[in-house]
Amino acid sequence: MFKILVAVLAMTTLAACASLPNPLDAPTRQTLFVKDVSVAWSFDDAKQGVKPEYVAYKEDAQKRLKTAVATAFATSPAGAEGVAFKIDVKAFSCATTGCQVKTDVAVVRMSDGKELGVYKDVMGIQAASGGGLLGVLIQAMVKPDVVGIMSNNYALVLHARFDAKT
Amino acid sequence: MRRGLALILCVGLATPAWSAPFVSPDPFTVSGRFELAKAADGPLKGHLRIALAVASPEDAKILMANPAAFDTALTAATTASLRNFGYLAGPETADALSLQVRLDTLEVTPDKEGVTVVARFRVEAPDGTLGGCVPKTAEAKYRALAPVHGGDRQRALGIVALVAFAAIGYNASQLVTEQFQIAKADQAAANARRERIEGESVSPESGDKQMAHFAAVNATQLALADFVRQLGRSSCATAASSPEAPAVSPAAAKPAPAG
Repeated sequence: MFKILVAVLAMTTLAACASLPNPLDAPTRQTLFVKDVSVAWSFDDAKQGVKPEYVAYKEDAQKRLKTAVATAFATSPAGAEGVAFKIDVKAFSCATTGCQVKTDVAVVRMSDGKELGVYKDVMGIQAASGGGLLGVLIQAMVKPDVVGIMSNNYALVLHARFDAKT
Repeated sequence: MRRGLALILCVGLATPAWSAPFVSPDPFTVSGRFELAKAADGPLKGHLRIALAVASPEDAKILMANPAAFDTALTAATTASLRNFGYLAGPETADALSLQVRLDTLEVTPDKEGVTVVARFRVEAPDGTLGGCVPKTAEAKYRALAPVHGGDRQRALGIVALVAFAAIGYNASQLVTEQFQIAKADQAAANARRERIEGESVSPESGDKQMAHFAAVNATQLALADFVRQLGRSSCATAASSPEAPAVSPAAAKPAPAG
């Protein structure tokens, strides 16, 4: 079942990448390396208020997204020009039953601050595997690391978008 | 129904394996992350070309790669590394030096806490004044420690990845720096006193093969970084440097223990 889920996620990722244009062309991408990653939060989560669980998920997600992206881009691309990935979280929801995030990612050249391109609507998801209510109930009992899995999925998706042909 | 779907998806995902093997050169490339000195104006800047970069089949096995594909990746990584620091000759450069680079058989030493790999490059350049400026060997040592187990596996992996990234977060202070004087025009003396770059971090995967692979990738990259670093410190690096005035490397991090 897990293998089917991974296969579905991979195929979905590839299909999604094929349909979205890459804001950076291949020659430009090859000259870059990712020197810095930051996470900003423009999502209006006022309705969530100060719910402790939400705050915990939010703080965890901010750290883990940054780490996951920095790790995923640590060795590739391998150019000479340092850039910063500025991740802006536009939507976020997280609970024991699943976690997802939607962001825009601006690629900014560090030498002069010029924005080279923006990857819009980059998403990361952790969803209960298996069928319907049973899968959700099982996940609620097992309590997987939803933020970590979502962050790793997000980094994978972002890298696929970055590597996609223009 | 589910089995049919799984079969279709597995076939679809397996299809790339039937095509020609590909090894990404990026993990071996010395990127700007290393903060090494760019080529100074001089005879080496923009005058080097990689004719060939090869490794032994044993190395390809440790790196879990097809030998021909790995040689292609190594050539691309070496070329990209020179480009990143200003040493790569353009196609229009008529008097460029063509270098042949060979990766010696990796020295792999497992122990109870991890695996250590030493990578060594041999560089052959055409005879001549400029050829004599190119370092003939470059090497590095990398130790992969076994990852922690137990607890929340996802969090453990996150911690391991963070440590690994931090450990190889490249800046000059984290590279081993040697204390040596570049002899007036004596490359042999400089090499004799050169200390080896060393690195260490936690492997993201357990298992001797996986740890050896992780250490080998990093050792190979660091050895290339050593080559780029030596190019920058070559007595021929700047055309204006007088052969009578030795260049002294700036003091930075403490020297590593002798390898």
